[in-house]
Amino acid sequence: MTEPVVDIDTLATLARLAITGIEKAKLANEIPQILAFVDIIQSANVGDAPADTAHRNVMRDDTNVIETGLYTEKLIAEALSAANNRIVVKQVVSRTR
Amino acid sequence: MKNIDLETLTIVEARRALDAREYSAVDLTDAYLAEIEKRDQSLHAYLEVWTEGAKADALRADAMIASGDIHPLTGIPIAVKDNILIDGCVASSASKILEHYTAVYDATVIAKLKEQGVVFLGRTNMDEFALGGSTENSAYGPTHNPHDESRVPGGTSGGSAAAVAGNLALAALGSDTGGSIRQPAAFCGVVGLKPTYGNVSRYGLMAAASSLDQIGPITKSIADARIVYDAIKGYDSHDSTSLPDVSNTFATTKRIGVPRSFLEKGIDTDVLASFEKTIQDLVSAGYEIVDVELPNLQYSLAVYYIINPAEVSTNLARYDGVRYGTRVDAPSIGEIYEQSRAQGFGPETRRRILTGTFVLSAGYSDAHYRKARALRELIRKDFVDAFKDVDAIALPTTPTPAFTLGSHTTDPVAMYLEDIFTVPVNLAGVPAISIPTDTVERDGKQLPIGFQLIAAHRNENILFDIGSTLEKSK
Repeated sequence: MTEPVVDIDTLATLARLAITGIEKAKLANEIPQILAFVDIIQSANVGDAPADTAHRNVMRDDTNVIETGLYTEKLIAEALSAANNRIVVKQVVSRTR
Repeated sequence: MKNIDLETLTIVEARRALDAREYSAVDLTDAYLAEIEKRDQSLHAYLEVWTEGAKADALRADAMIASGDIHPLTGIPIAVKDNILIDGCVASSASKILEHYTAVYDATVIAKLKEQGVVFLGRTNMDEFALGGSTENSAYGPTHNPHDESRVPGGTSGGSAAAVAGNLALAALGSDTGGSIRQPAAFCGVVGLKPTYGNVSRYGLMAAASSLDQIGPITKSIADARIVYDAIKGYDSHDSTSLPDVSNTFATTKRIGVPRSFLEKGIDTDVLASFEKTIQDLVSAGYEIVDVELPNLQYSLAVYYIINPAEVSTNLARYDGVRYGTRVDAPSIGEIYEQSRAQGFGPETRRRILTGTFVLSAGYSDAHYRKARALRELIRKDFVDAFKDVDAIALPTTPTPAFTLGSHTTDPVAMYLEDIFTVPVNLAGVPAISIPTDTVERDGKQLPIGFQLIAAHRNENILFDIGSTLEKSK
């Protein structure tokens, strides 16, 4: 397999992680090293082995198992910004960029 | 204060003494708190000691004992890894991003221990979000090995193992994603059990790699590991991967397999010689030793270091500086995410997130993640097939004894290689135990090493049985 191209900027954007210049250079060296290390799997013959094992249905009945408001106070207490029993967040969608 | 010999104390002995009223749970707790005060400054096993809470737990335990409401762990002082939630206590996963996070509910294992009247001494240090193998990735500084403070205690449950080995707790809870209970137990000379995936509830355990994580005990003896395991195991409707309760099957063929071809390289000579010595002890105890072939074991480490970062990058996406944890204020929501995560996560965590993002990304996920998943299934099948012929499989827990602090921090791959004998167990979901069987000398110091026994799914009893035999032979 050819050496994968690792674009740290794109990965950082996808992972929502700000990366400094110094760390970027370090990671640009380390991540390909890690990928080279795991590349041994390319020589393995997996035949028709499934990527997913048999599943057991663990769905419960569609009933309300949590009493409304039971944890609200505690959860809101952990929020970094809250008002009127709600977590306050910065605007997510805007009309203009 | 009562004079209690913490060095030789086990849960079994403390239970006897507490029930015989030779000392109280308050006496026992005070003894541990005094030892923590004396020694934890240099070991740094704990991130926080709950002195007042522990004393209150001990008073409650003494009242339970007085009223005859006695369970195997009533009044036993234990330490808890910092990624397991206790209602009202800070749980940070040794990360800056959760520095001030207070748990809002009890993990199932904690609820079970509370019912028994356990004394909770404090939360122990770990590699941030259970990523590492030395506890050097903690945002709050490393833990030191009680046998040689210039060396690591192992990781990621390094604080828990050091606490038990250093007599700062009678037992501890850890979590094991790729060896994080067994490897520090081996480095610190104590017993560490990774139960079958699904036997112990993960509800209230902060997720690192969800398909690999499992909570388990770190103790001074096999009997103690069994007591803690019995207390925390069981089906839990809050954990969708929890297995239904069944009684363990227990075979007695007394055959143990050794995957010889897996031991040909990458292991210290004296560690291998010690492993062979323990194998001979088992032969003397009447066990038959046979070679076993697990052809896909050679791919374990590579498979692990694809699946682990993939799951870690997904699980840690929840820490974004909005609902809880650390926030760095910035003009837009996107910048809040990026800056909070950049400043809240440490270097190894950031590296895993980015590696995981890569192996899951379009164009690469088939060659990496999906292939690793298929190979994982073959590794699991190798174990299932091997256990048709043997009761247990033996391997060293680690290829080396504890290494010196700082010696592996600049080379992530060198650190990953320390996990070679432990990660296959997590990939297959089988149970395994590390037993302190010997020491090897490094720089004039005797350092413990571990002997690892692996059993078929849900056959923890076999591990306890063979482990007890080994313990008696020492």
